[in-house]
Amino acid sequence: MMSSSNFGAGQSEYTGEYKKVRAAGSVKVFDCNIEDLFMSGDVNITNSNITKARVIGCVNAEKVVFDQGDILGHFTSTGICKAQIMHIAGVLNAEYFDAQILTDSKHFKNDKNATTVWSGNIKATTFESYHNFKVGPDCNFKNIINMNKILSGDKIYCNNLISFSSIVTDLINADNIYITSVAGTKVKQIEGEYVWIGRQLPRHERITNIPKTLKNLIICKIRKIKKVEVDTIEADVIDIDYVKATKISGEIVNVGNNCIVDVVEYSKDLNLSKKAIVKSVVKL
Amino acid sequence: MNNDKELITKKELLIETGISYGQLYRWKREGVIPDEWFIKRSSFTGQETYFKRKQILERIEIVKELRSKHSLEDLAKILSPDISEKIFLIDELKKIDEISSGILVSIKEVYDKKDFSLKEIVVFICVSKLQSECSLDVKQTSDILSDIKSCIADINNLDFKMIILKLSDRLGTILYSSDKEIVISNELSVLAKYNLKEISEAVILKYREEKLHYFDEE
Repeated sequence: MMSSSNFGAGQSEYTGEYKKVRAAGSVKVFDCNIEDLFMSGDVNITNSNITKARVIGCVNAEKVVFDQGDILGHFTSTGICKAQIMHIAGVLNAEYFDAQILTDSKHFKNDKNATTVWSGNIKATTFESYHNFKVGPDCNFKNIINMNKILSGDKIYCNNLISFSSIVTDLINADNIYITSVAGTKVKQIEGEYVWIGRQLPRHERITNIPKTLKNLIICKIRKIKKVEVDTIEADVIDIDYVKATKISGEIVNVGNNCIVDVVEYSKDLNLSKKAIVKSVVKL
Repeated sequence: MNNDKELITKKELLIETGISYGQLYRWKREGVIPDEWFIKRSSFTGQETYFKRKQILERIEIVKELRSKHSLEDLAKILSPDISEKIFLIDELKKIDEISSGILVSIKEVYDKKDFSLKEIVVFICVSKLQSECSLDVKQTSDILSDIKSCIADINNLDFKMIILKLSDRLGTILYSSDKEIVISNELSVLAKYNLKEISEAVILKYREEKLHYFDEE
């Protein structure tokens, strides 16, 4: 039978089914189904399903499935833990954590200069970044949406990357790459199928349909427009504006008004703006 | 055309194979083409990427052939398997044609266990070939298996070549990274040379449909 609500303070333990749990202190939850968990302190959750979790403090989860979670503090996941939507502001250490949508939480502001580095095997269909975030080698994100601050990492691999803020990395490898021209973006190499760099995100189905917490990507505002600095771009289709690059190579290449490129290589089609500065063009 | 016949530039590769940048980079991302196969060198336009011609053309051929049957994730596991991940059971060794029944006794003697990793399977195949090519007796087979066992203990991938050497009546093994060259003294005679990576790929491709324990999904 489901308990409607339960309040605890100090040390408490929960097992069974609950509609609401409100607790503070040191809490153990095991073999539980909880619709709404709201607590502060240290919580150990084992073998449970939580529909909605809001926790400030330290969470140790083992074999837990969350529908929706909002965690401020330190989240450690052991065994396989899963979530539909999970916001984590703080530390994440995961043996294997798999989320449909994972964010470093827009709900909390952290230190301006602090960079979040999550460790362990972290998988997400979509990762939304709102703080300075470093993508680690074990992060497996299909889609990355960079909303705010700086996204970094030695290599950023994903299927779709959409960025409204700065990126600093050696390599971006994705099928579809959309980067708005924001101050501070420096990438050595961009490689993929479709690369767009410019001011206003185009309304392409391949990005509007990806799972996300944001209602509309197209209306996201960008600040401080500045040329994106790239060494090389290689893709089937390249559509760029506000880019300073050493070399770009593609099948179909569109170079817009505000570009400075040393070498453009193309194999099928090339559109060069009269206002773009291109030193050399090579037809492959 | 690139002067160095062993290498092929990325542009030449795309033209020769008919694949696109998108495909090439997706295959790289998914691990079907390893990162280290992209060799960067300076050129008059800045930097050019090269590949080992034979290696990359063979890989693209395999990927194109298997693409319709397997997902890229599966292909990455087949072509660049995590050798520590899964096991073959001892009874399954008999189902692998390349492992001769003659070395099973020596395997049991040297490896006192019932399950084996992919790298061990590859070693057994090499030793089976060696046994038939050089007519090794049971003692020599056990000695060489034991020697290789200590040699492969620390490797965590199969991108290695193995040389079997003979000095008077003793056999020994050298294992070296595939992209390195080694020089061998004239005092030693080379009995055999094996490419572990090629053998592992061939074994995985051949036995994938055989319902061996190794291919069980998690």
